[in-house]
Amino acid sequence: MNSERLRQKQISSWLDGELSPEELASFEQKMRQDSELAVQLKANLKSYELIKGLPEIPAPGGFQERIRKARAEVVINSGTTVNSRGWRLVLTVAGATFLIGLFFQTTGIQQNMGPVAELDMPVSDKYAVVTSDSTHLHHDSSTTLPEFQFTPVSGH
Amino acid sequence: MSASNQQIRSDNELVRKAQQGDGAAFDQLVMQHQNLIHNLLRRLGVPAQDAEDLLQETFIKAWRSLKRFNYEAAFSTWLYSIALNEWRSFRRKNTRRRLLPFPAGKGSGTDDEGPQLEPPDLTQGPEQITHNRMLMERIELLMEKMHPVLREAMVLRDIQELDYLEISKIIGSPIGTVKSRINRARSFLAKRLETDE
Repeated sequence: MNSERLRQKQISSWLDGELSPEELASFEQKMRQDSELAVQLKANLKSYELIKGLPEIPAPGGFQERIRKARAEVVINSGTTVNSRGWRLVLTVAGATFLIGLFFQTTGIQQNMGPVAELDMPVSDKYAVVTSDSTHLHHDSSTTLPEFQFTPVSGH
Repeated sequence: MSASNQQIRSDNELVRKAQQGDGAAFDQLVMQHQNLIHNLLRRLGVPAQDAEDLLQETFIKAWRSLKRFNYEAAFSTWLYSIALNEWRSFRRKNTRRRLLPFPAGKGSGTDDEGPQLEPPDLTQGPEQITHNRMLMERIELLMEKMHPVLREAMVLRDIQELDYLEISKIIGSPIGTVKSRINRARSFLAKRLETDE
């Protein structure tokens, strides 16, 4: 630690009243011998007194009332925020579902959706389909559940 | 000023009540500490209007997290920590916006136009009054130039008159670091005040 920093440390301890009686006596002795320490101490004391002399700047009038109102809002908000968030989520989901349903209904996409559209058709119409030249797919109408058999085309 | 044992006990009693939802007890805590925290913010160079907002934010944050207050430190120490955090975040947000010079006096209210001094002491001569005003203005400018870390340590020690242990708890640094910062701040101010004269 250089001498200036050491001096500053001692000065601060002196300003804070932290020196023991022995340290204080030693400090005063040093000050009489070290003119730089005396100058540094004088400058410190001056700025210290100026800072200490600054008056308190109090909170503005009516501040307590402002806090009381703000605090009340915090209580109300924290009480309703959770609820309103929940409701907001429910309403959003319900609204989205409604809009999607409305969209499908108005655009008629449902009719082109294959299996969904076929549900209203008779079972026999649904499954008795000839698919290719080489195989004949037919529906056994005697059963309720559709069963498919591959019947080789005669001549093969 | 560091809280006395009696003050700490009284605060703790109010905090206990407030933790159970007693708003009036919290209002009492606000009344007892608002000036201290406001003064801290203003001396740290926060303009009047912003200081009021930061003060409100400090107390609202305290109210919100009151249940987390564990009585290990004085309530005032805890409040100071919240206020300093608010000030740091305010500074980060306002890096481009210059903080105001160190306000010099009481009754500065919302006027940030210039130096704010107490009414002159009529026992002093006009020359002395003028000289003191000039010194105060110089102090304002020098505090503005001081590094924020030094400034906060100095304000807590020399203006708020907190002891080193309490400052160490508030800023979360060892006592040695706190002392070193205060030494540097005092040295900075003393030297500049001398050389500018």
